[in-house]
Amino acid sequence: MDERAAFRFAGRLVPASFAAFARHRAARLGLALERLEVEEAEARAVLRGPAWLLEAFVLALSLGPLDCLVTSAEREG
Amino acid sequence: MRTRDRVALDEWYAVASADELGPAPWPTRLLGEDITLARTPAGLAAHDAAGAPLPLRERYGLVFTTLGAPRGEIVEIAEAVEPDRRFVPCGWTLLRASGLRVVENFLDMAHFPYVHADILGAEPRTEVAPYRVEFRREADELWARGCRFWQPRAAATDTTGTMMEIDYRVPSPFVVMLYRVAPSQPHRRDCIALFIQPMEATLCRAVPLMWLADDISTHTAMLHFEQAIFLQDRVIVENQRPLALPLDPRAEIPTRADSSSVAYRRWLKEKGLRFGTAEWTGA
Amino acid sequence: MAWTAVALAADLGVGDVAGTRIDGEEIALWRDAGGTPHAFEDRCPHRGMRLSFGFARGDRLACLYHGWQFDGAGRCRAIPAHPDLSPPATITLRRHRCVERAGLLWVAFAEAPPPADAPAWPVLSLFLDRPATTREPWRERIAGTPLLLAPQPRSPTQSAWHVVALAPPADAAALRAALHARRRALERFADEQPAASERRHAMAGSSHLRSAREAG
Repeated sequence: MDERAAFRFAGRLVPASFAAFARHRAARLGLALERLEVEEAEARAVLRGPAWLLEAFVLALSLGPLDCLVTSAEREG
Repeated sequence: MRTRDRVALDEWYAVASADELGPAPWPTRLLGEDITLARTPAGLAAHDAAGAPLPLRERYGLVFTTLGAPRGEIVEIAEAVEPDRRFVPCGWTLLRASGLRVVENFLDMAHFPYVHADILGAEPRTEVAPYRVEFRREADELWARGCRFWQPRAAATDTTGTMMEIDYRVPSPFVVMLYRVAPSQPHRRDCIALFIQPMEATLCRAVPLMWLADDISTHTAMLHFEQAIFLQDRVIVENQRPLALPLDPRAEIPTRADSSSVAYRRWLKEKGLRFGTAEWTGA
Repeated sequence: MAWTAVALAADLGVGDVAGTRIDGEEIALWRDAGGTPHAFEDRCPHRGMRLSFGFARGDRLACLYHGWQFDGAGRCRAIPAHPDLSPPATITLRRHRCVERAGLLWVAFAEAPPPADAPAWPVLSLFLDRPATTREPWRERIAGTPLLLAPQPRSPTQSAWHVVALAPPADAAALRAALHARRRALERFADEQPAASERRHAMAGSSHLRSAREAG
Protein backbone atom coordinates (compact mmCIF):
# COMPACT_ATOMS: atom_id res chain seq x y z
CA MET A 1 0.00 0.00 0.00
CA ASP A 2 3.07 2.26 -0.21
CA GLU A 3 3.13 5.18 -2.62
CA ARG A 4 5.84 7.43 -3.89
CA ALA A 5 5.01 11.13 -3.83
CA ALA A 6 6.75 14.34 -4.75
CA PHE A 7 6.04 17.52 -2.80
CA ARG A 8 6.84 21.15 -3.40
CA PHE A 9 6.94 23.79 -0.69
CA ALA A 10 7.18 27.51 -1.34
CA GLY A 11 7.76 30.34 1.07
CA ARG A 12 10.56 32.00 3.00
CA LEU A 13 12.68 29.12 4.19
CA VAL A 14 15.86 28.79 6.19
CA PRO A 15 17.32 25.87 4.23
CA ALA A 16 19.27 24.13 7.00
CA SER A 17 16.36 24.41 9.40
CA PHE A 18 13.72 23.27 6.91
CA ALA A 19 15.84 20.37 5.76
CA ALA A 20 16.50 19.23 9.33
CA PHE A 21 12.81 19.39 10.09
CA ALA A 22 11.89 17.47 6.94
CA ARG A 23 14.30 14.67 7.86
CA HIS A 24 13.06 14.62 11.44
CA ARG A 25 9.43 14.42 10.38
CA ALA A 26 10.03 11.72 7.75
CA ALA A 27 11.81 9.62 10.38
CA ARG A 28 9.06 10.21 12.96
CA LEU A 29 6.46 8.95 10.50
CA GLY A 30 8.55 6.02 9.31
CA LEU A 31 8.70 7.39 5.74
CA ALA A 32 11.58 6.89 3.31
CA LEU A 33 12.91 10.29 2.33
CA GLU A 34 14.35 9.61 -1.11
CA ARG A 35 15.20 13.12 -2.21
CA LEU A 36 15.28 16.52 -0.55
CA GLU A 37 16.35 19.86 -2.02
CA VAL A 38 15.86 23.04 -0.07
CA GLU A 39 16.49 26.64 -1.12
CA GLU A 40 15.34 29.89 0.38
CA ALA A 41 12.18 30.20 -1.72
CA GLU A 42 11.36 26.60 -2.43
CA ALA A 43 11.86 23.03 -1.27
CA ARG A 44 11.21 19.75 -3.06
CA ALA A 45 10.95 16.33 -1.48
CA VAL A 46 10.27 12.82 -2.72
CA LEU A 47 9.10 10.26 -0.20
CA ARG A 48 7.74 6.77 -0.11
CA GLY A 49 5.27 5.29 2.36
CA PRO A 50 1.57 4.82 3.16
CA ALA A 51 -0.69 7.54 1.76
CA TRP A 52 -2.01 8.74 5.11
CA LEU A 53 1.50 9.21 6.49
CA LEU A 54 2.54 11.12 3.37
CA GLU A 55 -0.43 13.40 4.11
CA ALA A 56 0.75 13.81 7.69
CA PHE A 57 4.21 14.70 6.38
CA VAL A 58 2.98 17.46 4.11
CA LEU A 59 0.71 18.74 6.85
CA ALA A 60 3.58 19.15 9.31
CA LEU A 61 5.81 20.68 6.63
CA SER A 62 3.06 23.12 5.63
CA LEU A 63 3.63 24.72 9.02
CA GLY A 64 7.34 23.99 9.16
CA PRO A 65 9.85 25.00 11.79
CA LEU A 66 9.41 28.28 13.56
CA ASP A 67 11.93 30.19 11.44
CA CYS A 68 10.34 29.23 8.11
CA LEU A 69 7.19 30.71 6.61
CA VAL A 70 5.55 28.25 4.23
CA THR A 71 3.08 29.81 1.79
CA SER A 72 2.19 26.72 -0.16
CA ALA A 73 2.58 22.97 0.22
CA GLU A 74 1.54 20.82 -2.73
CA ARG A 75 1.80 17.34 -4.01
CA GLU A 76 3.14 17.18 -7.52
CA GLY A 77 2.25 14.80 -10.31
CA MET B 1 2.42 43.99 32.42
CA ARG B 2 0.88 44.82 29.05
CA THR B 3 2.14 42.56 26.26
CA ARG B 4 4.44 43.96 23.59
CA ASP B 5 2.80 41.80 20.91
CA ARG B 6 1.38 44.46 18.56
CA VAL B 7 -0.62 41.93 16.59
CA ALA B 8 -2.44 40.77 19.71
CA LEU B 9 -2.98 44.35 20.94
CA ASP B 10 -4.61 45.51 17.71
CA GLU B 11 -7.80 43.47 18.14
CA TRP B 12 -11.18 43.89 19.84
CA TYR B 13 -11.72 41.61 22.85
CA ALA B 14 -14.89 40.74 24.75
CA VAL B 15 -14.17 41.36 28.42
CA ALA B 16 -17.54 41.19 30.15
CA SER B 17 -21.21 40.58 29.64
CA ALA B 18 -23.06 43.89 29.43
CA ASP B 19 -25.48 42.96 32.17
CA GLU B 20 -22.65 42.21 34.63
CA LEU B 21 -21.53 45.83 34.74
CA GLY B 22 -22.83 48.28 37.29
CA PRO B 23 -21.59 51.49 38.82
CA ALA B 24 -18.97 49.68 40.91
CA PRO B 25 -15.61 49.35 39.11
CA TRP B 26 -15.17 45.92 37.53
CA PRO B 27 -11.48 44.97 37.40
CA THR B 28 -10.18 42.46 34.90
CA ARG B 29 -7.04 41.76 32.91
CA LEU B 30 -6.41 41.85 29.19
CA LEU B 31 -3.15 40.86 27.52
CA GLY B 32 -1.29 41.29 30.78
CA GLU B 33 -2.78 44.72 31.56
CA ASP B 34 -5.09 45.38 34.49
CA ILE B 35 -8.10 47.27 33.20
CA THR B 36 -11.28 48.52 34.84
CA LEU B 37 -14.81 48.69 33.49
CA ALA B 38 -17.87 50.44 34.89
CA ARG B 39 -21.31 51.59 33.88
CA THR B 40 -21.57 55.26 34.80
CA PRO B 41 -24.61 57.54 34.35
CA ALA B 42 -22.85 58.77 31.21
CA GLY B 43 -22.55 55.22 29.88
CA LEU B 44 -20.00 52.41 29.77
CA ALA B 45 -16.41 53.30 30.52
CA ALA B 46 -13.13 51.40 30.47
CA HIS B 47 -9.69 52.44 31.63
CA ASP B 48 -6.25 50.94 31.41
CA ALA B 49 -3.83 50.54 34.31
CA ALA B 50 -2.66 54.13 33.99
CA GLY B 51 -6.22 55.41 34.04
CA ALA B 52 -6.35 56.29 30.33
CA PRO B 53 -9.76 55.70 28.73
CA LEU B 54 -10.14 52.73 26.36
CA PRO B 55 -12.45 52.42 23.36
CA LEU B 56 -15.59 50.39 23.97
CA ARG B 57 -18.18 48.58 21.91
CA GLU B 58 -21.26 46.71 23.00
CA ARG B 59 -22.40 43.84 20.78
CA TYR B 60 -24.15 40.50 21.23
CA GLY B 61 -24.67 41.35 24.90
CA LEU B 62 -20.93 41.59 25.42
CA VAL B 63 -18.65 44.52 26.13
CA PHE B 64 -15.59 44.76 23.89
CA THR B 65 -12.49 46.86 24.31
CA THR B 66 -9.03 47.13 22.80
CA LEU B 67 -5.56 48.15 23.98
CA GLY B 68 -4.44 48.95 20.46
CA ALA B 69 -5.75 50.07 17.09
CA PRO B 70 -7.81 47.31 15.47
CA ARG B 71 -7.93 47.43 11.70
CA GLY B 72 -11.32 45.78 11.50
CA GLU B 73 -14.55 45.78 13.43
CA ILE B 74 -16.02 43.14 15.69
CA VAL B 75 -17.07 40.03 13.76
CA GLU B 76 -20.41 40.26 11.94
CA ILE B 77 -22.72 37.41 12.90
CA ALA B 78 -25.70 37.40 10.53
CA GLU B 79 -27.61 34.93 12.69
CA ALA B 80 -27.67 37.48 15.52
CA VAL B 81 -30.23 39.63 13.68
CA GLU B 82 -32.53 36.86 12.50
CA PRO B 83 -35.67 37.45 14.57
CA ASP B 84 -36.82 33.84 14.92
CA ARG B 85 -33.65 32.55 16.50
CA ARG B 86 -33.18 31.80 20.16
CA PHE B 87 -30.22 33.57 21.66
CA VAL B 88 -28.60 31.54 24.44
CA PRO B 89 -25.68 33.30 26.08
CA CYS B 90 -23.67 31.01 28.33
CA GLY B 91 -21.58 32.08 31.31
CA TRP B 92 -17.93 33.00 31.38
CA THR B 93 -15.37 30.35 32.35
CA LEU B 94 -11.84 30.97 33.56
CA LEU B 95 -9.26 28.62 32.02
CA ARG B 96 -5.65 28.12 33.02
CA ALA B 97 -4.57 27.76 29.39
CA SER B 98 -3.58 29.84 26.39
CA GLY B 99 -6.61 31.24 24.56
CA LEU B 100 -5.03 29.90 21.36
CA ARG B 101 -5.24 26.33 22.72
CA VAL B 102 -8.93 26.96 23.44
CA VAL B 103 -9.51 27.91 19.79
CA GLU B 104 -7.58 24.90 18.56
CA ASN B 105 -9.66 22.63 20.78
CA PHE B 106 -12.91 24.17 19.48
CA LEU B 107 -11.85 23.40 15.88
CA ASP B 108 -11.07 19.78 16.66
CA MET B 109 -13.53 16.95 16.03
CA ALA B 110 -11.41 13.86 16.68
CA HIS B 111 -11.88 14.32 20.43
CA PHE B 112 -15.69 14.10 20.32
CA PRO B 113 -15.91 10.34 21.11
CA TYR B 114 -13.45 10.68 23.99
CA VAL B 115 -13.82 14.03 25.72
CA HIS B 116 -17.55 14.30 24.96
CA ALA B 117 -18.29 10.58 24.96
CA ASP B 118 -21.88 9.70 24.13
CA ILE B 119 -22.76 13.38 23.62
CA LEU B 120 -20.92 14.68 20.57
CA GLY B 121 -19.34 11.38 19.51
CA ALA B 122 -19.05 7.72 20.42
CA GLU B 123 -16.78 4.78 19.76
CA PRO B 124 -16.43 3.09 17.33
CA ARG B 125 -17.53 5.94 15.02
CA THR B 126 -14.24 7.77 15.50
CA GLU B 127 -13.19 8.45 11.93
CA VAL B 128 -12.60 12.05 10.85
CA ALA B 129 -13.37 12.35 7.13
CA PRO B 130 -11.35 14.81 5.04
CA TYR B 131 -12.54 18.40 5.06
CA ARG B 132 -11.47 21.63 3.38
CA VAL B 133 -9.49 24.41 4.93
CA GLU B 134 -9.91 27.91 3.44
CA PHE B 135 -7.71 30.91 4.07
CA ARG B 136 -10.09 33.76 3.12
CA ARG B 137 -7.64 36.52 2.40
CA GLU B 138 -10.03 39.42 1.80
CA ALA B 139 -11.93 38.97 5.01
CA ASP B 140 -8.77 37.74 6.73
CA GLU B 141 -10.57 34.76 8.18
CA LEU B 142 -9.83 31.05 8.41
CA TRP B 143 -12.58 28.53 7.62
CA ALA B 144 -12.88 24.75 7.76
CA ARG B 145 -15.73 23.57 5.55
CA GLY B 146 -17.42 20.30 4.81
CA CYS B 147 -16.57 18.82 8.21
CA ARG B 148 -18.57 15.72 9.04
CA PHE B 149 -18.72 13.66 12.20
CA TRP B 150 -21.11 11.09 13.54
CA GLN B 151 -22.76 12.31 16.68
CA PRO B 152 -25.02 10.23 18.90
CA ARG B 153 -26.71 13.27 20.39
CA ALA B 154 -25.63 16.60 19.00
CA ALA B 155 -28.17 18.72 20.86
CA ALA B 156 -30.27 18.35 23.94
CA THR B 157 -33.27 17.14 21.90
CA ASP B 158 -31.48 14.58 19.77
CA THR B 159 -32.07 10.96 20.76
CA THR B 160 -30.84 9.18 17.61
CA GLY B 161 -27.45 9.59 16.00
CA THR B 162 -26.83 11.79 12.98
CA MET B 163 -23.97 12.53 10.60
CA MET B 164 -23.43 16.09 11.70
CA GLU B 165 -22.22 18.63 9.15
CA ILE B 166 -20.21 21.50 10.54
CA ASP B 167 -18.41 24.55 9.20
CA TYR B 168 -15.87 26.31 11.41
CA ARG B 169 -14.96 29.97 11.18
CA VAL B 170 -12.07 31.84 12.81
CA PRO B 171 -12.68 35.57 12.25
CA SER B 172 -9.80 36.66 14.52
CA PRO B 173 -7.15 34.86 16.57
CA PHE B 174 -9.20 34.67 19.78
CA VAL B 175 -12.70 34.19 18.35
CA VAL B 176 -13.96 30.91 16.91
CA MET B 177 -17.37 29.88 15.61
CA LEU B 178 -19.17 26.91 14.23
CA TYR B 179 -22.26 26.47 12.08
CA ARG B 180 -24.07 23.16 12.24
CA VAL B 181 -27.29 21.83 10.85
CA ALA B 182 -30.10 22.45 13.36
CA PRO B 183 -31.35 19.11 14.66
CA SER B 184 -35.02 20.05 14.47
CA GLN B 185 -34.77 22.19 11.31
CA PRO B 186 -32.44 20.51 8.82
CA HIS B 187 -32.63 23.38 6.32
CA ARG B 188 -31.14 25.85 8.80
CA ARG B 189 -27.96 26.05 10.79
CA ASP B 190 -27.32 26.79 14.43
CA CYS B 191 -24.47 29.16 15.15
CA ILE B 192 -22.19 28.95 18.18
CA ALA B 193 -19.50 31.54 18.83
CA LEU B 194 -16.77 31.44 21.46
CA PHE B 195 -15.25 34.76 22.49
CA ILE B 196 -11.97 34.48 24.36
CA GLN B 197 -10.43 37.11 26.59
CA PRO B 198 -6.68 36.44 26.80
CA MET B 199 -5.65 37.65 30.27
CA GLU B 200 -2.14 36.27 30.40
CA ALA B 201 -0.21 34.03 28.05
CA THR B 202 -1.66 30.94 29.73
CA LEU B 203 -4.75 32.34 31.44
CA CYS B 204 -7.97 33.33 29.75
CA ARG B 205 -11.71 33.68 30.14
CA ALA B 206 -14.19 32.58 27.53
CA VAL B 207 -17.90 32.88 26.88
CA PRO B 208 -19.95 30.78 24.42
CA LEU B 209 -22.93 32.41 22.70
CA MET B 210 -25.49 30.45 20.70
CA TRP B 211 -28.01 31.55 18.07
CA LEU B 212 -30.24 28.56 17.56
CA ALA B 213 -32.85 27.76 14.97
CA ASP B 214 -33.88 24.88 17.19
CA ASP B 215 -37.30 25.54 18.64
CA ILE B 216 -37.93 22.49 20.78
CA SER B 217 -35.61 22.31 23.74
CA THR B 218 -35.73 24.70 26.65
CA HIS B 219 -33.30 27.54 27.16
CA THR B 220 -32.04 25.87 30.31
CA ALA B 221 -31.48 22.52 28.61
CA MET B 222 -29.42 24.16 25.85
CA LEU B 223 -27.44 26.13 28.39
CA HIS B 224 -26.60 23.07 30.46
CA PHE B 225 -25.71 21.11 27.34
CA GLU B 226 -23.22 23.71 26.18
CA GLN B 227 -21.77 24.35 29.65
CA ALA B 228 -21.17 20.63 30.21
CA ILE B 229 -19.32 20.36 26.92
CA PHE B 230 -17.25 23.43 27.68
CA LEU B 231 -16.21 22.17 31.09
CA GLN B 232 -15.11 18.87 29.55
CA ASP B 233 -12.92 20.82 27.15
CA ARG B 234 -11.47 22.79 30.02
CA VAL B 235 -9.97 19.61 31.49
CA ILE B 236 -8.14 19.11 28.21
CA VAL B 237 -6.74 22.57 27.55
CA GLU B 238 -5.64 22.95 31.17
CA ASN B 239 -3.66 19.72 30.89
CA GLN B 240 -1.86 20.00 27.60
CA ARG B 241 1.91 20.35 27.67
CA PRO B 242 2.90 23.00 26.99
CA LEU B 243 -0.07 25.10 28.08
CA ALA B 244 0.82 27.64 25.42
CA LEU B 245 0.29 26.84 21.73
CA PRO B 246 3.45 25.65 19.96
CA LEU B 247 3.90 27.21 16.55
CA ASP B 248 6.66 24.71 15.80
CA PRO B 249 5.19 21.23 15.21
CA ARG B 250 8.35 19.31 16.08
CA ALA B 251 7.04 17.96 19.40
CA GLU B 252 3.61 17.02 18.04
CA ILE B 253 2.28 14.67 15.36
CA PRO B 254 -0.60 16.21 13.40
CA THR B 255 -2.49 13.95 11.02
CA ARG B 256 -5.09 14.85 8.41
CA ALA B 257 -7.76 15.17 11.11
CA ASP B 258 -5.70 18.02 12.57
CA SER B 259 -5.72 20.06 9.34
CA SER B 260 -7.64 22.97 10.85
CA SER B 261 -5.31 23.13 13.84
CA VAL B 262 -2.25 23.28 11.57
CA ALA B 263 -3.92 25.88 9.36
CA TYR B 264 -4.74 27.96 12.41
CA ARG B 265 -1.08 27.93 13.46
CA ARG B 266 0.04 28.86 9.95
CA TRP B 267 -2.42 31.74 9.99
CA LEU B 268 -1.16 32.97 13.38
CA LYS B 269 2.42 32.69 12.20
CA GLU B 270 1.69 34.72 9.06
CA LYS B 271 0.07 37.40 11.16
CA GLY B 272 3.01 37.48 13.52
CA LEU B 273 0.86 36.81 16.55
CA ARG B 274 2.98 35.70 19.50
CA PHE B 275 0.99 36.15 22.72
CA GLY B 276 -0.02 32.74 24.03
CA THR B 277 2.39 30.80 21.83
CA ALA B 278 4.97 28.44 23.34
CA GLU B 279 7.94 30.01 21.59
CA TRP B 280 7.21 33.57 22.77
CA THR B 281 9.54 34.34 25.61
CA GLY B 282 8.65 38.02 25.75
CA ALA B 283 5.70 39.37 27.70
CA MET C 1 20.10 5.58 44.11
CA ALA C 2 18.77 5.46 40.56
CA TRP C 3 15.34 4.19 41.54
CA THR C 4 12.64 6.37 43.13
CA ALA C 5 9.57 4.96 44.83
CA VAL C 6 6.42 6.55 43.50
CA ALA C 7 3.59 4.54 45.07
CA LEU C 8 2.55 1.57 47.11
CA ALA C 9 2.10 -1.27 44.65
CA ALA C 10 -1.29 -1.97 46.20
CA ASP C 11 -2.45 1.55 45.28
CA LEU C 12 -2.16 0.95 41.54
CA GLY C 13 -4.53 -1.82 40.55
CA VAL C 14 -4.96 -3.40 37.16
CA GLY C 15 -6.34 -0.78 34.81
CA ASP C 16 -5.47 2.14 37.10
CA VAL C 17 -3.83 5.24 35.67
CA ALA C 18 -2.25 7.90 37.85
CA GLY C 19 -0.08 10.96 37.56
CA THR C 20 3.02 11.47 39.66
CA ARG C 21 6.25 13.41 39.42
CA ILE C 22 9.91 13.07 40.25
CA ASP C 23 11.92 16.29 40.59
CA GLY C 24 9.20 18.08 38.67
CA GLU C 25 9.16 15.62 35.79
CA GLU C 26 5.57 14.51 35.16
CA ILE C 27 5.00 10.78 34.84
CA ALA C 28 1.96 8.71 33.93
CA LEU C 29 1.85 5.46 35.91
CA TRP C 30 -0.43 2.64 34.87
CA ARG C 31 -0.86 -1.08 35.25
CA ASP C 32 -1.88 -3.24 32.30
CA ALA C 33 -4.26 -6.20 32.27
CA GLY C 34 -1.34 -8.57 32.77
CA GLY C 35 -0.41 -6.80 36.00
CA THR C 36 2.75 -5.09 34.71
CA PRO C 37 3.26 -1.51 35.87
CA HIS C 38 4.52 1.12 33.40
CA ALA C 39 5.86 4.64 33.70
CA PHE C 40 5.45 6.89 30.67
CA GLU C 41 6.37 10.50 30.09
CA ASP C 42 3.12 12.23 31.02
CA ARG C 43 2.57 13.74 27.59
CA CYS C 44 0.91 12.27 24.52
CA PRO C 45 3.08 12.78 21.41
CA HIS C 46 -0.01 13.75 19.37
CA ARG C 47 -0.92 17.12 20.90
CA GLY C 48 0.67 17.11 24.34
CA MET C 49 -2.26 15.98 26.50
CA ARG C 50 -1.27 14.49 29.82
CA LEU C 51 -1.55 10.71 29.58
CA SER C 52 -2.27 10.46 33.31
CA PHE C 53 -5.81 11.54 32.43
CA GLY C 54 -6.10 8.61 30.06
CA PHE C 55 -7.61 5.18 30.50
CA ALA C 56 -6.13 1.70 30.40
CA ARG C 57 -7.71 -0.93 28.23
CA GLY C 58 -6.14 -4.40 28.25
CA ASP C 59 -2.46 -3.97 27.60
CA ARG C 60 -2.80 -0.43 26.26
CA LEU C 61 -3.00 3.08 27.62
CA ALA C 62 -5.32 5.42 25.72
CA CYS C 63 -5.06 9.19 25.75
CA LEU C 64 -8.17 11.02 26.91
CA TYR C 65 -7.99 13.66 24.16
CA HIS C 66 -8.20 11.65 20.91
CA GLY C 67 -7.94 8.07 22.14
CA TRP C 68 -4.47 7.33 20.73
CA GLN C 69 -3.44 3.96 22.18
CA PHE C 70 0.02 2.98 23.37
CA ASP C 71 1.31 -0.44 24.37
CA GLY C 72 3.58 -1.16 27.31
CA ALA C 73 6.66 -0.40 25.22
CA GLY C 74 5.28 3.07 24.49
CA ARG C 75 4.54 2.30 20.87
CA CYS C 76 1.41 3.82 19.32
CA ARG C 77 -0.96 1.04 18.24
CA ALA C 78 -4.12 2.87 17.23
CA ILE C 79 -5.16 6.33 16.06
CA PRO C 80 -8.98 6.38 16.22
CA ALA C 81 -9.39 9.28 13.75
CA HIS C 82 -7.91 6.89 11.18
CA PRO C 83 -9.42 3.64 12.40
CA ASP C 84 -8.33 1.36 9.57
CA LEU C 85 -4.71 2.47 9.45
CA SER C 86 -1.73 1.09 11.36
CA PRO C 87 0.53 3.61 13.04
CA PRO C 88 4.20 3.19 12.08
CA ALA C 89 6.55 1.72 14.65
CA THR C 90 8.36 5.06 14.75
CA ILE C 91 5.54 6.71 16.68
CA THR C 92 6.54 6.01 20.25
CA LEU C 93 6.58 7.99 23.40
CA ARG C 94 9.24 8.34 26.05
CA ARG C 95 8.97 5.84 28.84
CA HIS C 96 10.93 5.15 31.96
CA ARG C 97 11.95 1.97 33.74
CA CYS C 98 9.35 0.78 36.21
CA VAL C 99 9.47 -2.19 38.58
CA GLU C 100 7.54 -3.54 41.52
CA ARG C 101 9.71 -4.58 44.48
CA ALA C 102 9.06 -4.93 48.20
CA GLY C 103 5.46 -3.77 47.86
CA LEU C 104 6.45 -0.52 46.12
CA LEU C 105 6.49 0.80 42.57
CA TRP C 106 9.85 2.27 41.54
CA VAL C 107 10.83 4.41 38.55
CA ALA C 108 14.30 5.03 37.11
CA PHE C 109 15.46 7.28 34.28
CA ALA C 110 18.59 5.29 33.57
CA GLU C 111 19.77 1.72 33.51
CA ALA C 112 20.45 0.43 37.02
CA PRO C 113 19.99 -2.79 39.00
CA PRO C 114 16.50 -2.76 40.51
CA PRO C 115 15.90 -2.51 44.27
CA ALA C 116 15.91 -5.72 46.30
CA ASP C 117 12.64 -7.54 46.67
CA ALA C 118 11.26 -8.56 50.06
CA PRO C 119 7.95 -9.61 51.55
CA ALA C 120 6.13 -6.42 52.42
CA TRP C 121 2.81 -5.21 53.79
CA PRO C 122 1.43 -1.89 52.51
CA VAL C 123 1.13 0.81 55.19
CA LEU C 124 0.57 4.24 53.64
CA SER C 125 1.82 7.08 51.44
CA LEU C 126 2.32 10.51 52.96
CA PHE C 127 2.48 13.71 50.95
CA LEU C 128 4.49 16.58 52.39
CA ASP C 129 4.68 20.27 51.64
CA ARG C 130 8.44 20.24 51.97
CA PRO C 131 11.32 19.11 49.84
CA ALA C 132 12.75 15.64 50.33
CA THR C 133 15.68 15.71 52.75
CA THR C 134 16.99 12.40 51.55
CA ARG C 135 16.72 10.43 48.34
CA GLU C 136 17.64 7.07 49.83
CA PRO C 137 15.08 4.67 51.31
CA TRP C 138 15.74 3.77 54.92
CA ARG C 139 14.62 1.22 57.47
CA GLU C 140 13.19 2.12 60.81
CA ARG C 141 11.16 0.50 63.56
CA ILE C 142 8.04 2.48 64.46
CA ALA C 143 5.25 1.35 66.77
CA GLY C 144 6.91 -2.02 67.06
CA THR C 145 6.99 -2.71 63.33
CA PRO C 146 10.04 -2.87 61.02
CA LEU C 147 9.43 -0.50 58.12
CA LEU C 148 10.92 0.44 54.80
CA LEU C 149 10.38 4.15 54.12
CA ALA C 150 11.01 5.27 50.55
CA PRO C 151 11.16 9.02 49.82
CA GLN C 152 9.94 10.56 46.57
CA PRO C 153 11.23 14.03 45.68
CA ARG C 154 8.26 15.32 43.69
CA SER C 155 9.22 18.93 43.10
CA PRO C 156 11.45 21.57 44.68
CA THR C 157 8.82 22.12 47.38
CA GLN C 158 7.03 18.79 47.68
CA SER C 159 7.85 15.23 48.53
CA ALA C 160 6.24 11.97 49.56
CA TRP C 161 7.06 8.95 51.64
CA HIS C 162 5.86 5.51 50.68
CA VAL C 163 5.88 3.18 53.67
CA VAL C 164 5.71 -0.61 53.74
CA ALA C 165 6.11 -2.96 56.68
CA LEU C 166 8.65 -5.77 56.48
CA ALA C 167 6.64 -7.86 58.94
CA PRO C 168 2.90 -7.87 59.62
CA PRO C 169 2.21 -4.62 61.54
CA ALA C 170 1.94 -5.18 65.27
CA ASP C 171 -0.58 -2.34 65.76
CA ALA C 172 -1.67 -0.87 62.44
CA ALA C 173 -3.64 2.04 63.92
CA ALA C 174 -0.80 3.12 66.20
CA LEU C 175 1.62 2.85 63.30
CA ARG C 176 -0.45 5.10 61.05
CA ALA C 177 -0.96 7.59 63.87
CA ALA C 178 2.79 7.70 64.53
CA LEU C 179 3.56 8.29 60.87
CA HIS C 180 1.01 11.08 60.54
CA ALA C 181 2.38 12.70 63.70
CA ARG C 182 5.84 12.63 62.21
CA ARG C 183 4.60 14.20 58.99
CA ARG C 184 2.95 17.01 60.92
CA ALA C 185 6.10 17.58 62.99
CA LEU C 186 8.15 17.85 59.82
CA GLU C 187 5.78 20.36 58.30
CA ARG C 188 5.76 22.47 61.47
CA PHE C 189 9.55 22.42 61.40
CA ALA C 190 9.51 23.62 57.81
CA ASP C 191 7.10 26.44 58.75
CA GLU C 192 9.40 27.69 61.48
CA GLN C 193 12.40 28.04 59.20
CA PRO C 194 13.25 31.70 58.43
CA ALA C 195 13.62 31.04 54.73
CA ALA C 196 10.59 28.84 54.49
CA SER C 197 9.66 27.97 50.93
CA GLU C 198 6.37 29.10 49.48
CA ARG C 199 3.44 27.35 51.16
CA ARG C 200 1.40 25.33 48.78
CA HIS C 201 -1.07 22.71 49.66
CA ALA C 202 -0.12 19.32 48.33
CA MET C 203 -2.01 19.19 45.11
CA ALA C 204 -4.37 16.27 45.21
CA GLY C 205 -4.59 16.77 41.48
CA SER C 206 -0.88 16.36 40.89
CA SER C 207 -1.11 12.78 41.97
CA HIS C 208 -4.27 10.98 41.24
CA LEU C 209 -3.12 8.09 43.32
CA ARG C 210 -5.72 6.67 45.55
CA SER C 211 -4.33 6.01 48.94
CA ALA C 212 -7.08 4.50 50.95
CA ARG C 213 -4.67 4.17 53.81
CA GLU C 214 -3.87 7.88 54.05
CA ALA C 215 -6.54 9.26 56.32
CA GLY C 216 -4.90 12.70 56.08
